[in-house]
Amino acid sequence: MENVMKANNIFTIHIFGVNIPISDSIIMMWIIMAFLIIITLVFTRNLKTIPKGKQNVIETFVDFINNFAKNSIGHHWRSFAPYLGTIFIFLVVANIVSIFSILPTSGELYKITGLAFFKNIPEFTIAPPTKDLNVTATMGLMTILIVLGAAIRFKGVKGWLKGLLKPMPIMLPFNIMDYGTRTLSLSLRLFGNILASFIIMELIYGVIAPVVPAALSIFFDLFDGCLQAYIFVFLSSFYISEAVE
Amino acid sequence: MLESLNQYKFLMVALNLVVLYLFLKRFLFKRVTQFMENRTNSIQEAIDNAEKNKSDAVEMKKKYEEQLKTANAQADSILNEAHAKAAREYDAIIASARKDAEAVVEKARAEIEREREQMLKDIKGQVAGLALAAASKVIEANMDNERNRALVDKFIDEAGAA
Repeated sequence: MENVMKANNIFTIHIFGVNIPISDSIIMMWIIMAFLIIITLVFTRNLKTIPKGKQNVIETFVDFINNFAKNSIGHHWRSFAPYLGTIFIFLVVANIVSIFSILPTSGELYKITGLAFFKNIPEFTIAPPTKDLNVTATMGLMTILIVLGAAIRFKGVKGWLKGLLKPMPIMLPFNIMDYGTRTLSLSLRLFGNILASFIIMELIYGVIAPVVPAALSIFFDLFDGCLQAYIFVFLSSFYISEAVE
Repeated sequence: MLESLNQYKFLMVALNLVVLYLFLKRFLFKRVTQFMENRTNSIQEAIDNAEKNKSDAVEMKKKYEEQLKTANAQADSILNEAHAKAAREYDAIIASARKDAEAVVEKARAEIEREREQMLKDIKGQVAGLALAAASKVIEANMDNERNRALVDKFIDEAGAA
């Protein structure tokens, strides 16, 4: 169980005299990134004027993100739609990736097959990278930095500072505090939800026979994962629209 | 849980996200959005063109109809003019023909008159001669002098006038 809760360092990169620990969540991120990049390249290959098959899928997705950005941010949607779309699709894939956690780990494969090859691969379970606080905190911080950048870019430093005094000057400390609390709430909500549903699913896998957990997995992995991704993106767009309007 | 926070992991995650963001922005969102907008624009352009062509055609049709109407009116007026001119010329020809005919008739009548007078004069002369001859035979004297002849002419004139 403890194994599940904390991020395991798989290996360490030594570069420029520092040790960079590579945890399983970062490896999961790389896998997800590779998946998304390959999917993108496959889906956007030779776009045709008359969309067909996979092009319909990609156009629908991009259109959905664009409309979402248009509706929530309005005039400046162009600058933010790619960011919102990126974190949305990344979070969706990252949050629901735990449905693949039923695949055997390398240790289990070694036990079953007895091949030395699997012994050399570090023990690695497929888990959502968003159950690692490092990942969600980085995402929350990035969103808040983008909100800050958006406010300064579209309203100028003066406009942003003036905005801090709204609706009345006494709100200044709260407005400043907002940047901290929003970062915390964004990252902790996502982290807590995904970690909790992941732990619950691990427990269920441990005590209930196969097949039955599938229904629960649909709720905890798929539904909760998509919901949290949507909430994160929705709040991000809300903060951005508040900053630029 | 908080002790697991690590600044290098932070940086790695941020690097991952930035790379993913840049990639998806360049190859997915910008590209597909641009593509769809280009398509929307080209469709809009095509529709606008079609609309414009249609309105042009309607305008042209109206213009042609107008022209046709004017042409019809012109044709009518030309025809009417021609009719009027023809009628005028017909009248003129008839009038001149009538005038010519009258002139000819008049001339013929004058000729006849002249010939008749000439004939009458000739007859008168012969009658006078005959009368004189008869009278001289009757009185056995030659009456054929200037005075007698004037007398006989006067007599014949009086008889002719009577």
